[in-house]
Amino acid sequence: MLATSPGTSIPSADVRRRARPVLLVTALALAACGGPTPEKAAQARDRAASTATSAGLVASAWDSGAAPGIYASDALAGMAKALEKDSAAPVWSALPGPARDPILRELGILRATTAALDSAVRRRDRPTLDALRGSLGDHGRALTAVEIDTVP
Amino acid sequence: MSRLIEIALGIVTGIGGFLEAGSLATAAQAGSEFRYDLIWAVIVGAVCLAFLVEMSGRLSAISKHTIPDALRERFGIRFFAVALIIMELVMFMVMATELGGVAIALEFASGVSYRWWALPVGFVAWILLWKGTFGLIEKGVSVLGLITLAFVVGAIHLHPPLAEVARGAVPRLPAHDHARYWFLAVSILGASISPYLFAFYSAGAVEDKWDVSHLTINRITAGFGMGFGGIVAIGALILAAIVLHPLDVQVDSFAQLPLLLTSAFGRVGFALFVCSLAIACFGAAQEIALTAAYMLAQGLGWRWSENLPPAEDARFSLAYTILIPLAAVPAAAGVDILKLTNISMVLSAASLPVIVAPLLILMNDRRYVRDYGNGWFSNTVVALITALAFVLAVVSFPLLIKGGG
Amino acid sequence: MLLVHDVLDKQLTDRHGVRMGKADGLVMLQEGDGPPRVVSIEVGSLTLARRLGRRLGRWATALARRWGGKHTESYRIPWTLVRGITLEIAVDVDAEATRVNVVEDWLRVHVVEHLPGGRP
Repeated sequence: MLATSPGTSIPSADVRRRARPVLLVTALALAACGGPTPEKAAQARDRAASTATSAGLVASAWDSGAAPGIYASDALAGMAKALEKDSAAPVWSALPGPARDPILRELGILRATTAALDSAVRRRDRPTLDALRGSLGDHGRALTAVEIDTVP
Repeated sequence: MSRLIEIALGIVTGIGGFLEAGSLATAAQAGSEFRYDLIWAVIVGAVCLAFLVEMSGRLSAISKHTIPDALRERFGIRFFAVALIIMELVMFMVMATELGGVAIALEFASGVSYRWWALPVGFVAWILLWKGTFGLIEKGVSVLGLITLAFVVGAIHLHPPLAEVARGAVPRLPAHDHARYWFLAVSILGASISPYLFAFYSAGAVEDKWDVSHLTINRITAGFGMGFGGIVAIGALILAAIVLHPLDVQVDSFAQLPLLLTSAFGRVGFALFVCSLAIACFGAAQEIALTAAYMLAQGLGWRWSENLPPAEDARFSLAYTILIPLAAVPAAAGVDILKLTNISMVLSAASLPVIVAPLLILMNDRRYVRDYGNGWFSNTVVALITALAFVLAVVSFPLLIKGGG
Repeated sequence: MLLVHDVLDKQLTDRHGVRMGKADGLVMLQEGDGPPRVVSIEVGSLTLARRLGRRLGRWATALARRWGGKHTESYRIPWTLVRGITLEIAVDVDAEATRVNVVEDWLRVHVVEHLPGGRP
């Protein structure tokens, strides 16, 4: 007996069509992967400033009783770690010294301040928390104020 | 009277079941980065979803076959195999995201890292499927999901400028960061128009033994339920626009999201957030697990039903039994859930053509829909959605690279 | 009747209306000069694997031989037992009495019933 299985209506051109996005992705990934640029540094700086501001928001949410200590401490620890990763990122090498140095300095202070906020929450030390929040705000503004020249 | 209850339940299911990790994260990112400018994307997503879900329900009510059934029967095993692989991959990623979302909610509540919660959450999701029935899963979690209305109430509570919110409902070109804007638009569409939802909904119609008499309920459930579900996502977007945008805060971690509700409700807001995230993601994880098993079982001709005890549909039950722990692995391994969410939402959008194009054909196949097929209006809508789906499939990968952040 | 269009991959239902898998393949016989006629409908994942690709089919067959022992052949339903074809193919057999559920039963006994709540 012959066992045959006739083909079905959709041809394998369908499969080939789906393979094309994969090739497109690979090509674009190689293109977009490029090294550090001033634009990327500006984005990284804005991201770090955003993290710092978020840390301030979490701290004041805890201060006002809206956020429980477990979550606030957890979140602040995570944000401090994120700022640490930002400090160590290679993207800053795209910037000239006069821009890079103050950014790295502010990042370091922000990381330390966020970590200190975490301990203040765990110690329930509201006065220290308030002072640290002020410092966080100041240095966050200092970070944002650094001029990054993205025009070549 | 009982029909009225069914309708009410259907709407509740749609609203309560809309929000999950993907729609929450994308809405929050959109609100924090582009204020109200992407509201139109949520609306388009919800409207498309409503139309497609209604058709899925109608197809299954009339033909008594599910979408995976029909995909194989009408288009052959080779097409089905491709569709199955694509869908299962996307569903796996989204399920991993949802399980991660539940784990993260538990981390916020307990201080214990989400990595430790991932497998226990998977276990609970599994045991509820193993022992539960379809009605329990579908209705139980969706009714609980109504807690996500907290985002709507919260948004109203913070008095957003209505004129600007309304302006955001009109599609517009971005003022800045084009790649990022369109990336978020695509992600929002992928989060709203999840392909697994149609397969799940059509399987549900068969599980609940729908027939011609259910067509009206189907239309109301899909239209009002899914349509209004979008309002929950808009609520989250507005909250992010009010709380985070003015401070130039971008959302790059789930840890920032409780702030959306604490700003509106204080400590109660925190509890509402944790419960909303946990319940919404848990429900979605269960739906996806079932859908992944449904698609496999229905396409390959296995016995299947969530209403049967596992002993009577062993292959179907073992399918989700194997899939759920596997999907818990990424979260357990410490994968960044927000990044995973963004990627899986885009892939979700990219995989749409695989379901939507066949659906367009099926809704006009008299063997399946008899006299209840699409009129010219529905066909036009689905044809447009199909065209949109193909556009999304093409642009999603480049956007993921350029705008993924 | 267009075999691919109307028969292949369609849902099979037994004489009680119970679903029993999809038509995974067809067995045809070429007699002399006439057109080949359908002898039976084949149900089984092996048939499916073979349709998806020769390599997949050979790999699946090898796997089945290692684990399945004598159950390496797909189940065949004689064409004469087909009662009607609409959206589904109604066949005059009893799903319980066929070998369609061999894998299901094996999994039930060896896996499902060992998990909590698996025994109904």
